[in-house]
Amino acid sequence: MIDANQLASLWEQHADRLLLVARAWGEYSEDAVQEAFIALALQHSLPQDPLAWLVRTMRNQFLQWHRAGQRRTKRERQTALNRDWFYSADESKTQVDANEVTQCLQELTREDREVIVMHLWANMTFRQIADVTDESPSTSHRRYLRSLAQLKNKVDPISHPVQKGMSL
Amino acid sequence: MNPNSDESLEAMLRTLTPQPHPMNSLDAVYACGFAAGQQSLPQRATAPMLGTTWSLRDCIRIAATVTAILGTGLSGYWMGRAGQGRERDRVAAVTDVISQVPTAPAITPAEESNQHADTRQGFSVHNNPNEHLATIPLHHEWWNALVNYWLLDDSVSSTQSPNQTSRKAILQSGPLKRESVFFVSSRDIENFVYSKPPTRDSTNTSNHAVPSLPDLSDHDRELNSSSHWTPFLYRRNTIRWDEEIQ
Repeated sequence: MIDANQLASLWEQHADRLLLVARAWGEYSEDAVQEAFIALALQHSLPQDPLAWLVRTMRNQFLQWHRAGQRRTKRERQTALNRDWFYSADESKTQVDANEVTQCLQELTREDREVIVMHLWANMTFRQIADVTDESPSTSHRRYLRSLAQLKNKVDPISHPVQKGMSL
Repeated sequence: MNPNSDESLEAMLRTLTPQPHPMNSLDAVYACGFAAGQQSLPQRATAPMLGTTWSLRDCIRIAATVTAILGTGLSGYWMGRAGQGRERDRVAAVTDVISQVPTAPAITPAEESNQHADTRQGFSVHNNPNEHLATIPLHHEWWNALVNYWLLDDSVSSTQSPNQTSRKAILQSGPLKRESVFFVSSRDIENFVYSKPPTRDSTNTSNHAVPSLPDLSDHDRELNSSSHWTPFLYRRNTIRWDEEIQ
């Protein structure tokens, strides 16, 4: 059984990123993260790559829910979609609008969105992503570049006002 | 920065931080631990509240179960108020939930001192209904009793939904399943909140079925005795009952 401290450490390390990845797939994202950790807690030993394992477990969970036709109410679904995906830890350093990026991501196909989120915010390599998506690393990479190009046309950088007395 | 290069766009996008998951690390470990049937849990973190000490798990339990009892939206409270992972908000959310417990006949301080003279141990009832509803420091003895009572005694639920899974069935089926639906009437908690606090040695502490309490002098034993508690709090099945049957 996996030690509670290990579990806590993994949660601290990955929960936020996993939640974002789950959001890229759609509804019940918080539940999916929790389910993945519960599954991890049931393992006898730590997987070799816990992050990739958790992402894959979440993805399988989503597929299972989808197949089983377990749908939440429209309101809950909408609430989940409307929830903010990002926050600005330091506004002065944030260079894009969080809501705009969220919206742009939602306009991508699910496959394109997941590869962007997994690589950019979950810091997963294309090999790890390929393990999750059952594609080759090169296919994942091509998908990533194509999706990034789509975002490039939509996302505008924020111009922060320069404060008086500050030198650039 | 030139947003036209892939590198700069990547760098800009990475300035955004993913929103945190509403559960903090300890909550998550508790939830996973219970689901996995682990008996060994980390030391409780304590949250000072109103002259007593609640463990985070107590807060989770209270928020989840009281909300289930009241039939109000758990996710609304939990995600909205406590969802930021701040302990103060968590406690505030719990207090808010408890403040919605239906009012009961006021107990005067004199009655209170008579009734609870020997067994208060953190449990107190004030004579101002509005006040006491927000200031009930549920002792873990009480909480344990409530949980056991709720899970073990089907007969106390006065309102049965056609879709409702009996609490016994839930208990016997092991960890709660995603689609498990359970419901506890407001009478359940009223019975507990407004009756005499259970004592360790008494079997006649009230006129309803209170299971015998474990010796809770050792908090670990209390933790272990509640291993059937499962992490349903984020499953939101407590609020779906209302939505789905209507």
